[in-house]
Amino acid sequence: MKSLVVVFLSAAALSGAPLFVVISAAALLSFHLLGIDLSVVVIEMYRLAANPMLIALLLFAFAGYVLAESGASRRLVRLSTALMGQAPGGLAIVSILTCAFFTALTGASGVTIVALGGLLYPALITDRYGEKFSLGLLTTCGSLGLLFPPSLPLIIYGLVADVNISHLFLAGLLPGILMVLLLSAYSVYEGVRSGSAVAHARFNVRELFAAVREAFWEMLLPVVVLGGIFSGFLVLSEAAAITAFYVLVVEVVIHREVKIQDLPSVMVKAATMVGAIIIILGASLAFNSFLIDQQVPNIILDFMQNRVESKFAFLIILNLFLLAVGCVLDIYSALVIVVPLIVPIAASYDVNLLHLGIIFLTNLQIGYSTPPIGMNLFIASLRFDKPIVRLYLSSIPFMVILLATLALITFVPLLSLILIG
Amino acid sequence: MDSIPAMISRLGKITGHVEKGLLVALTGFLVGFALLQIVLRNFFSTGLVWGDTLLRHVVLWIGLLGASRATAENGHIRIDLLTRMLPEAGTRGVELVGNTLSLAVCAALFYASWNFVLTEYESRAVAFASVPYWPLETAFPLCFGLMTIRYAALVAGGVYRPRRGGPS
Repeated sequence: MKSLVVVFLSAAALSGAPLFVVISAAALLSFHLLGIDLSVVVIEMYRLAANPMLIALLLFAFAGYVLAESGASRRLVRLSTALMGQAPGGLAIVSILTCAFFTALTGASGVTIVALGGLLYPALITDRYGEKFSLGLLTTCGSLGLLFPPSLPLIIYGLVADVNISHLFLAGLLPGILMVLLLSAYSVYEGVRSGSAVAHARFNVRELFAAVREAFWEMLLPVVVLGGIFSGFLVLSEAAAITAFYVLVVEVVIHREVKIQDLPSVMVKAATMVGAIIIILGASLAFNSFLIDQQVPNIILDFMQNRVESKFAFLIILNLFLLAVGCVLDIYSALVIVVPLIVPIAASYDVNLLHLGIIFLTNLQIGYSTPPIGMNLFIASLRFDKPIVRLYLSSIPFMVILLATLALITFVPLLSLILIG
Repeated sequence: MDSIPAMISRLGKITGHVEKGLLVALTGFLVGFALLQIVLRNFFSTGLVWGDTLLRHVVLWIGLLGASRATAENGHIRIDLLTRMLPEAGTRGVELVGNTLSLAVCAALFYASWNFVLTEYESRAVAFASVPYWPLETAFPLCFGLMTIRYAALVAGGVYRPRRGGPS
């Protein structure tokens, strides 16, 4: 009976039924087979309302959608071009920096590729970067920045694994910067090689000044987001409310690019995206309580401990497993389904849970661009109107760099933990 | 014969407007009220004790109504490996299977949440001030009810008009 249920649900998942339906079905069937009243599923889902972090999730997402609707992406590109455009590989580095900034604020929901790709791709081609390099860069960068606060996946990991989210924000900083640096180094190499390093515009103080003035309010955004949290004045949900308010004032009142009458549709868009995440989160709360009730994490734990001895071996297996997960599941589903199962195992191998979170997100970030169903590949294919196979090939060099970063992040825990002290 | 589908689509539109209106009102309220709480806490060293409970339920409502919108707009997260690989005709069959399962699950969730709210109604537990919990929890049957109806419409559309593709 059990295996029949598993086969049925796997088929349902592959047939494209929403994941919340598949997970809820698993929870409903499991509790039904145990003879427990089905309202327990809803009681477990109701635990959503006990979690103050969902407020932060929603408000940060709203702020991100308002930003995406405004001309913030254009201003940021102008600013970073004025700063970096002249250096070899400059424009590629501009792409990396603006994508990272934008993704941190909007989550890797494809907004980055859609909002920035259209600006950056023609610019990269004009600057004589190869098509293959430009496509690969923008596809990979669509999920770069997930390790920077206040990225939604970081918040979700903190929520599911029950670790301090402010600490998690700190843990992501150095690994995120490392990733940006390595990708930038490759871009410089590629820029020199393809001859795009020839400066087409000299460094211009006046342009830099104008760009700073234009993007000034957006430049302050990291201070607004992080200042409140790390100064200890605000809890996360309050920082999110301040961020939402700040972004509204900047884009609606100061820049006047988002009209008041556009706000309802932005609100609905943000709520729809967050709703799709929250319902999966709710369903998985129910299903996980069944798994814990049946001691499934303990069974997996015993299985692993009998076969895998060292922490080193465990981390390698973990990465291979997560890369596979990242290929088939999107980041939010992967977090809510896999994290509760992995956390007790990782703890038994003495892996710090903050470090685990960074490993987790790095893997899932890579998964966004891996064939066959990495979401970035599909979005980029639509956005740039290129066949998906060409995007597979373009992404390979970037994948290699990201995998190298992953290895460093995994085996140098200090990278994630040193800032926490 | 034409008037029934027309009526259904009009009803669907009205429901959509109500949902969106609620989402906008609740999100606006959430931002405003969260700011108010910050001001009260930091400048007046006070705060509304029941404020946090209220805000968490507002987010629950937004999340569930948002999920209901995601059903209407085909915005749910899914692994659509099969539908991406299959030819057009096969896709429709697979989608019909997926929608039928979704219909069954949402109906079961509606039933479960209805029972849940009934139990809570009888217990008369108080959330804050003199507001009991059960009205706050009606978001569940509401959301799952709407989803059930939407999936029923999708299944019906898939069965009766398989040649024209799914209803929009």
